[in-house]
Amino acid sequence: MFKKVFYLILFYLITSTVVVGQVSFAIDTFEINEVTITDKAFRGQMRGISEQEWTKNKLENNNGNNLSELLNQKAGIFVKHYGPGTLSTVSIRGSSSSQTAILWNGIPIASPTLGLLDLSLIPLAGFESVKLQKGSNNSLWGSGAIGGNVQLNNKLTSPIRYQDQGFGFNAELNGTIGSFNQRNGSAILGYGGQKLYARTKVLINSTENNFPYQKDISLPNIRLENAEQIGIHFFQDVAWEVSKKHRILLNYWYSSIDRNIPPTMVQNQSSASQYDLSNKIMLTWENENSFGNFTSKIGLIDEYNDFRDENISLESSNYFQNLFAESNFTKEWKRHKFLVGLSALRTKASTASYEINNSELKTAIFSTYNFKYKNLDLQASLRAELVNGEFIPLVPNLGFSWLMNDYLQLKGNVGRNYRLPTLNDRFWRPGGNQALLPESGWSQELGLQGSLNADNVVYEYAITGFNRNVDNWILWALDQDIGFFSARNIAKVWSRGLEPRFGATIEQWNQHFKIQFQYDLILSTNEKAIILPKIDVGSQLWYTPRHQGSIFFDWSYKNMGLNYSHYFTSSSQGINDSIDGYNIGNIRFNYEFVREEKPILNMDSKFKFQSINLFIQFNNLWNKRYFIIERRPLPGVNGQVGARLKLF
Amino acid sequence: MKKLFTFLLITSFCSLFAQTTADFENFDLPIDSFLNGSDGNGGFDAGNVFLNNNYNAGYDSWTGWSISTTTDVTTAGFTNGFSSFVGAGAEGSQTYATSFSFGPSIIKLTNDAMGEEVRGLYISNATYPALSMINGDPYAKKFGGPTGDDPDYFLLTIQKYLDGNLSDEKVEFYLADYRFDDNSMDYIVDTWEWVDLTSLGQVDSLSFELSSTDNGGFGMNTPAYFCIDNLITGDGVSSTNNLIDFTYHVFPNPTADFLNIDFNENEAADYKIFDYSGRMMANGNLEANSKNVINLNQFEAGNYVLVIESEEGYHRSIFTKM
Repeated sequence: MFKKVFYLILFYLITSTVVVGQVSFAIDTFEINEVTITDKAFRGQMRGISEQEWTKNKLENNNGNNLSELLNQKAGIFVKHYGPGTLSTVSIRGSSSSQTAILWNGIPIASPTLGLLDLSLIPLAGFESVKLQKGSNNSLWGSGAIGGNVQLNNKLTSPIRYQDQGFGFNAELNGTIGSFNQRNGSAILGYGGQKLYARTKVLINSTENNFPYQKDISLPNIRLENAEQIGIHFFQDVAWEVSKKHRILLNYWYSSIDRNIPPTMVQNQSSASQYDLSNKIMLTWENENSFGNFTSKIGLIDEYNDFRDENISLESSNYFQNLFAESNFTKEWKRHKFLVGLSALRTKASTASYEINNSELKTAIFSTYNFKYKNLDLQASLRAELVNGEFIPLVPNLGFSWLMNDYLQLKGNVGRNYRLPTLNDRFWRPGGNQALLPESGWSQELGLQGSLNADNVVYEYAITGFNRNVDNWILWALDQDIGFFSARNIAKVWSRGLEPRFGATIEQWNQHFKIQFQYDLILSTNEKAIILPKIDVGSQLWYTPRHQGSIFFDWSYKNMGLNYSHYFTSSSQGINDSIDGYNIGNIRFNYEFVREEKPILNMDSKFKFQSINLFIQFNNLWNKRYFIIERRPLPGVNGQVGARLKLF
Repeated sequence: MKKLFTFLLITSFCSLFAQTTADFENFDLPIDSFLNGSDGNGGFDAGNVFLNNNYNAGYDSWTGWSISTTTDVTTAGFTNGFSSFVGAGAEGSQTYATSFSFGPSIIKLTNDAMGEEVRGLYISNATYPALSMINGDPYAKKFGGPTGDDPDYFLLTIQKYLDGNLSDEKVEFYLADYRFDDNSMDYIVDTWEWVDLTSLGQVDSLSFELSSTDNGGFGMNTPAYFCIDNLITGDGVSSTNNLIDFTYHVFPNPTADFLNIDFNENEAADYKIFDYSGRMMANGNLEANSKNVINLNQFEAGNYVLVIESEEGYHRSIFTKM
């Protein structure tokens, strides 16, 4: 084991050293006011799949505060949300909670013990952009990206003005208050110049989550108890342009979340609480020259959580540490583009429920080839992975996009997918099963998309069909032979569906109107009958609605903006009960005061008041009583008001 | 009053004379301790029964039966997985057995009890399911639901195996019952209750299976625990003996020191006196057409069964020692 780690580190150092000696570096500019350091999109690009990206501006004007709310309200994917203060996970195209890769600047951050990440703990204000890619991405990102992936990026940018003036600051202050004693505050300070720039973010949020709800429609409202939460996040991003060829990036993310776990609707009270402490740090070395581009990164994730419940005299602590290293090289030549990379992930985990502290080493080599010919863009990817010394089958992927005409693009993708068992699946006592096989299968998707300009109206349209089979699906089920629940490869799931989209944008009377419809038909069915848990052949997966739809309406005029979104989710089957379908609406109004070029506080002339954005929003506007998970209450109508002050 | 009720239950269906009580005190466990099968013996011998245990050393977990003297009636959750909700064994004893199983829990009859009738046993809730039913927990509902009107129940069904076959005959015991129209009558058992099993007839093994109205995709949500104590088996006397009428007179009843038996049959017979737990307290011979006096000075106050038996059959009667 140590020998392998040694060779891995040696390879990492050698490749880093060799490529660092290459030539020139280019800055890729694509936004008006900011300089993007590099365009590393090729590492994470997959042709022929569906993706959505929310940049900083879009994130700022989003209704939600955390990743769970963004994906729920903007992405049209199902978020399995246990209610405020409790677990939120995502299900993409009928996948399980652990079949979505969550990446922070390209490294996986989901817990290796559980295989998932609580999305409600990820504040949107911490990131410059968030990208969602649906479909199988396993050839690029490895285990877990069966349903898709979510990329959180701290892509550091330096305002052009600093580069012109040598050195400067920008700053941003945010404050929000909301229903149920919700308080969010953040301070962001950017500083630097042509060679060195950095950004510091501090985010604090707290809420009592004591919203009123009815345990039964015949009963009066009571307030949710034991649901308080307080979270602190600290981000530090630094970029140093060593020379025109080389750049070093440092990203650090600290988070500390203390929360109480509320009772279910069939529980009198809860005394449960959970504390999550996480440190993530990553160092990246980038080199770009005429021969090609080289990126090398090393990262460490150190995470601890402690669950306590006085009522049941339980205290459970879990700890894991991920050490991640990756090097990749990209070469573009005429119509061809290649990428080859090597990654390694060493995991250590400990919990009282493991017999021993466990570790795991995953090493992978991955490559991508892209070929462009006229309007056709082809891409092939291949990944080979070694897990604790054992090869898993090669993971290929093939994608294309073809611009058929000015109005229509055809795209498609086919790839193998897999997910390795989590450490809990393998080592938890009781029930861990070290003989588990990876979940595996194939995914395909085909889509049409395009846009049409007609006078002052732009129409956008898309439809995507997908198909995915996953065998050896891991479930914890009763093993009749030993009388315990244990992790086993007992299920087989077939997912398929359609995702039509339509939007229209109108510019009229100095106003901007946009309306967008999206609908997801998802059939994700069990293909094997199982006695316990009781699963019939052809039955839809639990907590997987067949139908989801949403309508978004945006209006803006000068410095004002209004958006309304309405969501429909069909009924689904939970573990205990069937869950009724629901439809809810959210509304948000923004007003921005822009007072550029007017210095404030008699400070340095570079330090100017840029804008104040005020907003008010209401969630669940029609005060619907609804459930995502049975027995877990969700709030009725609730609101937030806030302000964002930008200094430049 | 409870003893008398229990006593009557025992005696009203009694067809066996010799009996053994599995009271689990033979394990000599100190208070607030338990045996979860980690010795690897696969179960526990007590009286003339064997309680199956499935202990997994790799997981340090068990299913089946455990032996317990834990007394915690306030701590909820699986960390309190051995305690009876009474906080002790039946009739004030210290030791009892706790079952935890996703499927049926089995008790095998051994020695002289094999193939014989089982008189019955005491049953109570374990603390874990009892508090779960009272308050709810993250996985299981509070019984009655938010309104208190849900017709919930937690049912223990006891069946027998004989000659390898599971019989359709069963005895049902509700550990909790919220099906009453009047919610004030809803109950969760918090005492030891005697359950008569003589209706099952001859038994090789007993099967105990829990069911609940609170079920999910993974099976029953209500924690699958319950407790038993003082399991009485009938030993070694054929249950084919006939219940017949002897001509005799027992007096006085109640009595203080002596019991008179005027035995008016032409053939001699034997007598046996059992206490409520099946322990034989006295025995002897009754001559034909004889008057007999039995000294009760060593008997504690309580109810007793007098059994008179001959080759033709037996008869029983009840008397009370004051």
